[in-house]
Amino acid sequence: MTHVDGNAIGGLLNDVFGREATDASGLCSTCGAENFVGALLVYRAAGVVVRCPACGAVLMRFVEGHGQVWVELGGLLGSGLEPLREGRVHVVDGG
Amino acid sequence: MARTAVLGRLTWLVAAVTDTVTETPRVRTLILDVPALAGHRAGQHVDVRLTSEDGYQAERSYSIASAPGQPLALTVERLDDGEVSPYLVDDVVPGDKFELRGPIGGYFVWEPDGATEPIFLVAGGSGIVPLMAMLRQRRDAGSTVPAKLLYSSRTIEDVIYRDELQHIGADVVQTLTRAQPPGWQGYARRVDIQLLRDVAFPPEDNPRVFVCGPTSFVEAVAEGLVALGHRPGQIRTERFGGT
Repeated sequence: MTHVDGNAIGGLLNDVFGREATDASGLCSTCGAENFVGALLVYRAAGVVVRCPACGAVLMRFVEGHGQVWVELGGLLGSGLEPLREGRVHVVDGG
Repeated sequence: MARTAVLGRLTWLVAAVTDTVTETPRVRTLILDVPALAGHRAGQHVDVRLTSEDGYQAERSYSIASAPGQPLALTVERLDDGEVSPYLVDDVVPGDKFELRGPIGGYFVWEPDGATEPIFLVAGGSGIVPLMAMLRQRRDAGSTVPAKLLYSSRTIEDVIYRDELQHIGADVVQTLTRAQPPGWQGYARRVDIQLLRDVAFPPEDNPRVFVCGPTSFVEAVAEGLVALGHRPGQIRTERFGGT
């Protein structure tokens, strides 16, 4: 499956974080690489999986449906991005 | 109850088509009137949402082709199995309306104000679109920052903005990978490291590099430039996915 980059999900990220997020930068909790969100690797299937371009670790996951979005951000450190506190944004722990 | 507007929050807006421009047999530019849209930066995109009669919605992202300050223009390539692009390229007529939200993106953007480093733009196919917004803004702003465009297309008929590129005020180098017309003066192969070495500003000039196109194209170009000594932090990429 081919990938795109974080730019491509700017609209989804705006939905979740309520702001432009592609120019935020964050650390990979696995390898420590620092990258702009716009430069992360994005894989789309049933949901959206965002991976570190350096080591491939999963940094963020999003699943959308019925106007709701489920968010898991455990792999990304220090980005300063906080999901909106709204009924339709559900933050879940990584498993 | 009305929800308080949050700074930076995007909402879906109604766009009205005011004009269309056929760029190639597969590519069309839509000029749009979106009264509530905030000003954009060169390199940004919008999300377009179409809703069918039964309520099914399809959403895709399209790069903005126009310079900031100009009427919003989206240049769209038809993907034959697409849900959105065939409608935008083949069916839409002036007066039609659809929803969009944006502008989106703060990473793959360029602004002429205060820019001093040369810009090297590398486009594969419709990857030219956000780079054209940068070149148009550079031209309109009278920027003297050196600019070079390397543009790869399959055939001469696939070259988007073919006429405007001749007077965009930048050094334009083209390669045609599949077929070349008689007397073609440009390159005639896929972009490889030797071609990048010939065309790119040298790494010592510390150019800002923007690469946009299919994923495999973008990765080959970015890896080639790093191998030639360009700093990864100066290279910004936008991958379109499969060809």
